[in-house]
Amino acid sequence: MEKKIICITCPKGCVITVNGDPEKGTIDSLEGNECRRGDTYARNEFIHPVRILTSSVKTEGCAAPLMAVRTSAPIPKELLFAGMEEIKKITVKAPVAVGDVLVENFLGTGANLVAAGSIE
Amino acid sequence: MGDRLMNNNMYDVIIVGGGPAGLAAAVGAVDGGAKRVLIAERDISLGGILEQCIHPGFGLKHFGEELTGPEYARRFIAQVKEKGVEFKLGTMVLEIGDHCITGVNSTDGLFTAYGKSIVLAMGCRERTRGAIMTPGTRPAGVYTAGAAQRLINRQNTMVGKKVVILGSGDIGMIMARRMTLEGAKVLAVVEIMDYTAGLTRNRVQCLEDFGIPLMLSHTVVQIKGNRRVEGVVVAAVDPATKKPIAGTEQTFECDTLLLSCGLIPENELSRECGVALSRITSGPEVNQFMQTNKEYVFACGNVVHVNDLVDNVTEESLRTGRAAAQYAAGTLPKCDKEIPTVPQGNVRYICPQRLVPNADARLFFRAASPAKNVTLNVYAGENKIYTKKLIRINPGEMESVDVKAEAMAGVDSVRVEVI
Amino acid sequence: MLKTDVVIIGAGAVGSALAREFSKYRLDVTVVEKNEDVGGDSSKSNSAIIHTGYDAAPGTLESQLVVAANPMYDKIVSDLDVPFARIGAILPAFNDEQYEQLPALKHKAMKNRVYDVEYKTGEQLLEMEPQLNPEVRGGLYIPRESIIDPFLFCIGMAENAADNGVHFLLGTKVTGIDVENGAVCAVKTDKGQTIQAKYVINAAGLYCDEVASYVGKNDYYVNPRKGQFYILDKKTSCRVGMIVLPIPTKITKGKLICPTIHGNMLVGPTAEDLQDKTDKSTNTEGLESIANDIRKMVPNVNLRDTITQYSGLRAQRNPEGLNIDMYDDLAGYVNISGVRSTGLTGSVAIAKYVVDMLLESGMKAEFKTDFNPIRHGTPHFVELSDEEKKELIARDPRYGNIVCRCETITEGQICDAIHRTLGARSVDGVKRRLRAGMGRCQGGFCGPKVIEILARELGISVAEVCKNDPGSEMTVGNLR
Repeated sequence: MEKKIICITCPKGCVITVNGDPEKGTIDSLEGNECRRGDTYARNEFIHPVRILTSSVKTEGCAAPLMAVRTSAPIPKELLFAGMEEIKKITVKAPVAVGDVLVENFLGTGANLVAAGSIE
Repeated sequence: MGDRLMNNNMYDVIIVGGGPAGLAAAVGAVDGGAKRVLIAERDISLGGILEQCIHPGFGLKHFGEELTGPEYARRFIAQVKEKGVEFKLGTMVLEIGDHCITGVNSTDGLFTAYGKSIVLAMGCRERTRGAIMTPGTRPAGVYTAGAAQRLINRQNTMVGKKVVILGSGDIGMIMARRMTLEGAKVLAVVEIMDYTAGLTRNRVQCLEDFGIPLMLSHTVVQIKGNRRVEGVVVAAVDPATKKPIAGTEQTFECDTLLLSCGLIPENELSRECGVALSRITSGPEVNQFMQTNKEYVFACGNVVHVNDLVDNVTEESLRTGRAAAQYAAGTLPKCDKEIPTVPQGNVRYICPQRLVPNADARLFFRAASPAKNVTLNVYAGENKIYTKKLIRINPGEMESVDVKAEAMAGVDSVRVEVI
Repeated sequence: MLKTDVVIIGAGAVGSALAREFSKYRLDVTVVEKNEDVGGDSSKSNSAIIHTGYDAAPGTLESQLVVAANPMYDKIVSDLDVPFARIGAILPAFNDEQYEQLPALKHKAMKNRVYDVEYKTGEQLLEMEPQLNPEVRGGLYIPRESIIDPFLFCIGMAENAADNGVHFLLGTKVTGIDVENGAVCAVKTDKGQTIQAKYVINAAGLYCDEVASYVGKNDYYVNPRKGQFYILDKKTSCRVGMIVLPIPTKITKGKLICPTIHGNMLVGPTAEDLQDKTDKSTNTEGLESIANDIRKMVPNVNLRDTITQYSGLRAQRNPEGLNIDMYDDLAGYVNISGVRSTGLTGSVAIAKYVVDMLLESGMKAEFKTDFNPIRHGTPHFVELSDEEKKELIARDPRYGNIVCRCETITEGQICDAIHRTLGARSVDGVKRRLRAGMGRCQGGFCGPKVIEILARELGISVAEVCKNDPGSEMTVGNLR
């Protein structure tokens, strides 16, 4: 099958045309990307779309009520809401530095949930 | 003058605002040789709007990796601290005077600080309901998207449960996704133009990913509810006149209306200190060193013109900081005869508006309307110095082109044209 | 059971003025107000002008009281620390038809004893107001027409009354009035209270017909007449320095443009007769009609510089006219009806008139020797000298934290407005007392901070912070 994918990696928003079989995970042709990131994005998007999940968690022992968090790498799109449920359960204690791992292998995705902000 | 020397309040460069523009300007100023640099920031922390932009999409251009707003800010905050830049938080600058600022905060009280150069980096604010004149009642639950973003991401406060968003600016689309992830139902994003105001990637990952309807060529014609928003009436608009078409009204029951209808550079301080502003961008008119008509006052970031990418703000602000440091040291290239930049065809504006012809320049420009398969031409005087075919051009995406000093020798203007 | 001497129903301009006037006497006075804050409905959304009464119907009670009220303002605003300015009004004529009406308008002013109205030539008017349509033929100048902060005016009167002992029951609606032996004896509220009282004053404005019906004195009814307005940015490209009034037509007094006391431009109002007393919505047709009419007088008015639009409801009495009634068969009851656009001005005279009426009719009330007429408002940080600013911040560092950038309002001011007598309980309460959120960003920046400060200072959760009345909650509470 053929699919037109709009790349979300940068503001250009290239329209990338992919031919292949998403069920089998095979790609026959891919064109329209202006960079290598677009190639990676379109391959993922064709076979198994992934997104970085960002949100915030409750804090303890600091003035800021929330701290920003993110997945260290994109995770399967269908896990975004499950990820939110996990994030809502978390409370972090100050201090936390940006990049600190909060949950390893988040939802079994291989990506970690890390601090995207910091609290003191 | 005696008073100035007595006090510890003299700086090479003073920067008004500690958001992405101010932070990068500070880094640029130190790199450019400034010894004492001060940032005056009105919030309780550095980082500006980035602190509430917890979504990814920052830094691809500048750092080569995808960062969230707070991560992007922290890289610069770390640099600023390492380079010994001084900063005052919770500090409002009330006035810019002759090589000085008057500020106020809770610890210093009312204070004056002197700077050989001053950089304006106050950012922008959101267009309000009043400015776009949305009719109806005035209940609680009408927020600009950025105010809602602050409440949710920094103040741990959820603004509503059933939401309509007017305007397809980036913050609006990003808030559509954010509120959806937090359990709210976003009924529609309503846009008066026939294209999204924000970036295509945000339409895809914030709206299409979550099945949020995008209603182009529509607008909100009435807000309902006396105490809290109870609903909004949406109608189609005539694409030419933008006037609502009678009979197309539909009511959405909701408790919240978010507005994402554009950003306006915040230039009250600039205007009051005599900085000339552009009627098109609402920001200061500058040359390629981001120098305003008051030669010790520089400006960078969204206070000059609203950017869609923080990476561009960073690049521009690093240059600005360096130029401000050079000015403080007396080494900034000068020219008595600056030449104007002139937008033509489908170019709405160019920043900088003026060029010092004996120095290289990068011109940023924005299209007036979306177009496909167009040609970009750059002229120095009557000479075509650059031409390129563009597959597409969108008002939501800033474009840039470089012009060398040699090309500007002896010409009276530089024109950028998209046809 | 609560017991008081006087119940005043409504805390708008008239109710607040009454409260303050009664507080000069040794009486127990209770004001019952359905809204959560003082300041009323019509009293807070109008053109904010203190009129001279030059164009009232001569010989009417309205003429008498409005004309009498105008000179009282210099003292009141100084006592109560209310922003006010005597900027004057002009009434320019742009065509023969309008020009020919000027003598009659001037004569009417004379009959209303507003003797300082003067003719001006077209050139003189253009010199006074350069933005006028250059076709101006001539007109009238009414020097004592003035502008005021309508919120602080009502709040100031109510606050000063409360400081002098008047009780305020806010968020409380009167649901009935008990009568015994031909005299009022108590007022019932929606909170289940019965307040015993010797005197009941109906100052319910838009709802005065409803209140009058509790005692069968509703021989009239009140229609809301909507007026829509634009507020323009302080930096708008076309400004006027005075109140520019249109020559009235048979149908309407028309739409005006004037500066507000805080330096914005105000443009409006429309006049639309409605049924619904809660319909304070704006609409495109109304706003467009304002734009069209004002451009005839001030062609360069820039309505793109609008920062907000609002509408207010005038209490249009049918049959027309200001009425202040006492009844032979209902002792202790005073009914005030027909308070319309001149009500803000007239309020202070209405209050004196009512108290005098009651004293004449035998009300026993001793003049207080310790009445304190002075109210000290919240410090206007931005207007202080540098030395005063430094001193204030040294005393209370919260005055060094600017919360509202557009109007330069500090955290110290917000805390003061919350904790003073009849203090702010809502986002609108803060806004009306201080203007935080009334500037060009309309609360985009300070709104979230004001919510946080209100919750903290009032000891409530953020979910409970309202825009104004219950049901207008700003947020749904904490995210995590």
